[in-house]
Amino acid sequence: MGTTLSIPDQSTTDLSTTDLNNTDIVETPTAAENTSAQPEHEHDHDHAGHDHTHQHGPVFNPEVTRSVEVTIPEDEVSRAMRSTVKRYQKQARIPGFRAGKVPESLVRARFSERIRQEVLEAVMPQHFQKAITDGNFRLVSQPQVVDMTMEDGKPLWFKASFEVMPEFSVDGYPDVKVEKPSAAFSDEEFAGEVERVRDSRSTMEPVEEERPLVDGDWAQITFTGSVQPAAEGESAKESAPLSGEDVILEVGGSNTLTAFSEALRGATVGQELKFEVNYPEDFGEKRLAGKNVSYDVAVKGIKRRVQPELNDDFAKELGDYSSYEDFKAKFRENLQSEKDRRTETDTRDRLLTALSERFQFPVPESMIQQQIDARLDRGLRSLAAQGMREEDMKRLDFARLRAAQRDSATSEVKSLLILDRIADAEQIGVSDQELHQELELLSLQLREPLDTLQVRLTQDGSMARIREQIRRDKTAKLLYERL
Amino acid sequence: MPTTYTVIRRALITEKGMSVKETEGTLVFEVAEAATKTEVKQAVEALFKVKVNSVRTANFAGKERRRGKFTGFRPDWKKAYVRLKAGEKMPDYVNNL
Repeated sequence: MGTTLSIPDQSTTDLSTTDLNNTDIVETPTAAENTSAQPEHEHDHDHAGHDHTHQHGPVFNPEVTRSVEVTIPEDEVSRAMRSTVKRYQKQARIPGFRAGKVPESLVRARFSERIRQEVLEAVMPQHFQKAITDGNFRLVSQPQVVDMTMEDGKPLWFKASFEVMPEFSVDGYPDVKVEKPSAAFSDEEFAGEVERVRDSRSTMEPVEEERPLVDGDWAQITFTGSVQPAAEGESAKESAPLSGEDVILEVGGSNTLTAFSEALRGATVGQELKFEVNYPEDFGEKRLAGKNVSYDVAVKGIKRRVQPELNDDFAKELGDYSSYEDFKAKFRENLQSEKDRRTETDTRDRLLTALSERFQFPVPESMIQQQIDARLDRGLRSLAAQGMREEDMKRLDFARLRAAQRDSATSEVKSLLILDRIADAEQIGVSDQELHQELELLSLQLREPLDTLQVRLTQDGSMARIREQIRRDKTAKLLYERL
Repeated sequence: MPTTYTVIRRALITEKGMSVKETEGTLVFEVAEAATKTEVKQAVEALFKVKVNSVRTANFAGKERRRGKFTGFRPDWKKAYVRLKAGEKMPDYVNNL
């Protein structure tokens, strides 16, 4: 029987109660009328937008799972029930009745599921919160209602499980040391870098004088090569002769086949050469691997690679440098700071790994899942940035992806918890000024004005997360500096 | 021989229906047009296991409905007020008759 219900949108369920939707709620009819023919239970929360994996809540790590049992006095439940029914009575539109004239019994029967839900949402969080405070639990997960009885005229009883912050000590963390590599930038390394820049700026100049090719020269050649023997069953394409025109290769260079280097060494312009090349079995190109190719090569020219002089002109060509000395100083500075940064991240990573190994403790599953979510989110966003289409993304095997992220997510959560602990021990705080700096940076990155960003982050609770992040970063930095 | 379920189409759960249920001990149904009072009486007794005192019926002409320029009518129907014997316990309507 069709019923048109127009109840104002009740979909705003707050986070602490959404899990109620996911747990098995023992069927206890609230009214005698509630024996059959319920209007279809309408899911009043929005499934779109977030993936379904955490619909059922993560499977908790038993070592950090605690639960509380809460009993709510009957009169409080029935009071909530009455006021909810009253509200529904006012709003219910049922054919055959004028607005607001629907009898209470009918409202109870018709909307029992929803009313029940609302009553639970009205009374449970508060009592649950009290139980948490009394029990001194530090929740790190959404609570899951694992068991519950709700009957008319009886107190409401439920049992909820959740994960708590693992107990562990970070005593002795200052003793955890890792090697701090020297960040100094040696002259040899610097010379190498300069050489690389010079190479990238070098040009090919034809050699005019007539002389045989020597190592280091670049030979410009035209060649044809036939693959021998053409193995049986090979298609014409595979045994087709190779050819190339005006190919340039370095005699004696590391990217040139030795056979070519040897054949070309000493050759002069205009000379024609014939030689065979035995490609090794593991040659990069399948078609040629393990084959014998006889080549006809004509040397057409000799070129030399000319590197630019290391002088002021070279420096000016590279950028806004006043002289070669200026370039050298700035280049070195850049390289140094880059190396410093690399050394620092690398050392910090190793330090965190060492800390995680030293301090073992059970890691809450819900935190791991959150971390996996965050990682996947980042991954998907970068895929999107690379131009992956949404349909293709939906086809990804999310279960596999999640499983693959698990180990790194776990160790991330671990280091993060350890850092929090150390931050407590060191009494590291985050000043408003530091937060402000971070926000300014973020606002530049996201190209969002600072004030709207601030409002948005405060609303979605990210502000606290950013604060935590800064705190951890400070802690890690401090540990690094002490090494 | 019409069966119980072909006689009684559905319970009419309306303000009026609820009010006569309380004041007069009367159930209200939409019934088959061809159903007689006797058939309704037997059907209600069988369905709710109660004793019926009397049955009054009323025929309703279907309302005109328009869909653009075409006019049509909703089906005609019959309504039955079924008064139970004094002292009978009022059954709950089960919504899906």
